[in-house]
Amino acid sequence: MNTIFKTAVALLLIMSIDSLARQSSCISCHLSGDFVSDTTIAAVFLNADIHFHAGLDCSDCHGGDPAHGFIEQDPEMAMDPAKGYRPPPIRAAIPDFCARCHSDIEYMKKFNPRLPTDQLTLYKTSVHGKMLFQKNDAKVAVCTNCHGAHGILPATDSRSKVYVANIPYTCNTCHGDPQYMRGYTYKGIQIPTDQFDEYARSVHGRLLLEQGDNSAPACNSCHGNHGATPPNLASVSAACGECHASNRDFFVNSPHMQPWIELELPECEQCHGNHLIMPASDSLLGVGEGSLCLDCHDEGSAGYEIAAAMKANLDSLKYNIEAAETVIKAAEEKGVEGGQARFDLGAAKDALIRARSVIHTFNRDRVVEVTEPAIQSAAAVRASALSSLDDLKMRQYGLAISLVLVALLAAGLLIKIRQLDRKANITKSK
Amino acid sequence: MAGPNKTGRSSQLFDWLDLRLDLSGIKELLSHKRVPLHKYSYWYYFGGISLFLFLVQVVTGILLLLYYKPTEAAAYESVQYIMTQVPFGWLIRSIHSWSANLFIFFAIVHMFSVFMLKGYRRPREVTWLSGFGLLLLAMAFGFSGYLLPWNQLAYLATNVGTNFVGMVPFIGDWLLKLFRGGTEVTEATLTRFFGFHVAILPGITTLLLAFHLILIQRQGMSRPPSIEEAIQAGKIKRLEIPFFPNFFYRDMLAWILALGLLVLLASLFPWEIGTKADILKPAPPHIRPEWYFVFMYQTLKYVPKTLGIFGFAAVGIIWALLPFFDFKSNDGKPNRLYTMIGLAAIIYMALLTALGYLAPGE
Amino acid sequence: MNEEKIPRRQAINYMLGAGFGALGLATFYPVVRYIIPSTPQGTGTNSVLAARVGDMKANDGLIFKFGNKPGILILKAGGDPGDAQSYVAFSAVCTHLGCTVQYKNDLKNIWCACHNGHFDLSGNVLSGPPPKPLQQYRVAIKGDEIFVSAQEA
Repeated sequence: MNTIFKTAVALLLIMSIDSLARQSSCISCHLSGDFVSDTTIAAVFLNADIHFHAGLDCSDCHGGDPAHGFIEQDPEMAMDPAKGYRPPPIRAAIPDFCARCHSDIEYMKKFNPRLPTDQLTLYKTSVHGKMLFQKNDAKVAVCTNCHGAHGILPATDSRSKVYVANIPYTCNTCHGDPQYMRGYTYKGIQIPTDQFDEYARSVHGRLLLEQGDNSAPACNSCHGNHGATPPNLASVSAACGECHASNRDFFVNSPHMQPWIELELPECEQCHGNHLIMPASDSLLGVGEGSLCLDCHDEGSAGYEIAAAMKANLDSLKYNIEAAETVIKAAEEKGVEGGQARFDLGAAKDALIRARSVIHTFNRDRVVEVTEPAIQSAAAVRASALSSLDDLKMRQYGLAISLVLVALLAAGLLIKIRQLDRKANITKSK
Repeated sequence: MAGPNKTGRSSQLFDWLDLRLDLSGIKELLSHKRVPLHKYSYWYYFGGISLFLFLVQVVTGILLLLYYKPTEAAAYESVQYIMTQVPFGWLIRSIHSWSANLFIFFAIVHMFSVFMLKGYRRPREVTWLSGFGLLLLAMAFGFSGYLLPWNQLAYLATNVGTNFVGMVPFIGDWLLKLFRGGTEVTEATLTRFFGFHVAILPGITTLLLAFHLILIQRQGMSRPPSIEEAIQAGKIKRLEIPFFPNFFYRDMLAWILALGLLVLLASLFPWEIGTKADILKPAPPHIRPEWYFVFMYQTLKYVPKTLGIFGFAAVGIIWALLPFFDFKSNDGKPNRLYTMIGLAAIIYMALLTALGYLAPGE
Repeated sequence: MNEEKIPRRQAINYMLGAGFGALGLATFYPVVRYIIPSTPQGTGTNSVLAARVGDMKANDGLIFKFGNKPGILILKAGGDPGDAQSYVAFSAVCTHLGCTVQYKNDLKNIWCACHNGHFDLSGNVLSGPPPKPLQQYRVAIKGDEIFVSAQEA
């Protein structure tokens, strides 16, 4: 009686499952609370998982004989190692477990020809991989830490743990936990666990996490995915230069490159930071308050002079642009249209933005090349706006002439009135 | 007119026109029309100045119509275009804006001068009523025209101003929708106000103004009772000057000076364009309607709103009907009470307006 | 007595006549100048005359003023200058930090010199820091005039 009842329940459950689910004892048993305590694994797998969606089921990863075992209602038959059953792997075995399919190009081509199959190879070069395979440290991240086990979603799915906006949180699961990360060092120093906090406050973090701009870099943009490694000194600029190409090119060819290498300084990071990258302000340059050049260049040195000179160029350009805008605004208030002038000033504004990039050459002549024509152009716009203000003076001449005319006419009228009054013998003339 | 030479060109022209338009009736009227001369005669000019300024509004308004576009997307830009690209557009628009304010100002001065000189007394009560109506129309012109440039200031002021319409009991919401073309101030309000400003109000004003002027021509100018008394007592002589040509040239002088003033103001203080209205921006504190509404707006800050609105409506009606109850003036006697009332009104309006600018409070 | 006064009165009349005439002209002149249309009105942000057919060669880009901002008009390589389909037009304001972009006829795409951003001829970002595509405009040709207008959303 009991068996019949349970079979009926099982049958009902199976019939309510999505048509893609084949008659599988894995599902029917593991979904029913009677047999295993945790039904979430099966439920998650059936709900949203890319493998399930591709037509795979439990046995495709775990092996065994679900069909046979189902008919016989024999879990031992279903999970028979002789029939190829692979129990859930220990952490250290997970990468190979996943790579059984994911490194098999022929097999993967059937599902998604564009999916790379080098994840395991890359993983073995990463810090995580090296610690796992060479030091037997199972605390490091394996495939399931980032991708999950049964509810695996593609990176383009916004619910996925490896969706670009979720990546910082995923990495932070371990890297933000001081207890978990204790003992892990890089170059002899304990790895910090505040990367996420810094990143979340940085310009990149705020773009990605607050403004939802998915083009902003997440952890993997600089560190890599499967081959995750902190960028070493030689490639910090390569990482930043993926997007900030001009700055990278300027820097790499600048007089700073060689000293940086000799001093073993991390290129862009030395001035801009790594995780807490804030929008660069002009005060970083030069010899004033908050400038970074002073960190190395003392007063009187050549570097000091160049820093001060470059800053002066930038400031001069900014000043000229502001001066032009002030005049344009004043003219607009007086009724002169400012559109053309603002348009013309656009070139100078572009130059200011470009100049801020060009300073990475740390070459004063290159900066002047950009700022000087722009300063001329801004000054020209200002001059033309001033002359349009002068045109307004024409109005005042016109006004003066009309007023003179009015005054003459009024005087003439007064005389005429007096004449008429005399003629009509009016005693009081008003 | 040219001197005694009857075959001069101007009289030939006149004869030509007279033959076709039968101008002799008008000529008769004009030749007999006389204007009293006394110590208060200067006040007679203000009606004519108001008329002149209104005519300036009509002309400049029609010119602005050639370029103005009454839609949310284009209103502000079209005014900007007029101010910056159209030759003398800045002049026409600034004259229109200045003349609007001067027109209302001089109309108020005209009204109070008529009141203080008792020019409203029998048989001129209806003239007074039509004049008061014209002043209200002028203020409606000002209110509707203010929104048309669709700048932030105008948008907010219209919001506040029409809000008060909504406070009228029973029909307030309905009235509000009628004014705004909806529940909020939107493009629909702009279209509606434009219709009011260039068609409905001009139509009504033309009729009422014609009525007002015809009455004045037919009834002539009145002398204040104090002057009449002095004449009867023999203290001063009964002086008059012919309207044409003596008063006419004086009027022309006043009009020329008013024109000069307009051009001066428009050139030295061109009217600002402001920033385009942004419906989503929150209102800054201390918004004010135009100056001629400020005394009412300020009053409503001190008294409960409904009471205030009713109060002003009541005061308006009483003010319009005052002439009918000035029995003393009808008898030709000076009426100190009415003089006091007039002074009190002037002082109140001036004081509340000043407060509205200097200590608006909230 | 009258003989002396008459010329004086006539003098005054002439003066007044001349004065009023001058005032009339001084009023008439601005009004006439006002009424005669000069620069085309257009609100400037809706539709703009960018160029004339023949101004551009194939595989060429042109910066023009659209409202207060720069726009870029491109005649595609191998395109017919008289056919509106051969043109594409975009806002020339780079979506990264606002620099003015330019057309690169060797790469046949749009490039921003400030930080090396590249856009394809649909305005989409090819590489570099720009986060969003360039706003695309519509091109229409009337006679020999090329008009650029903002797209309907």
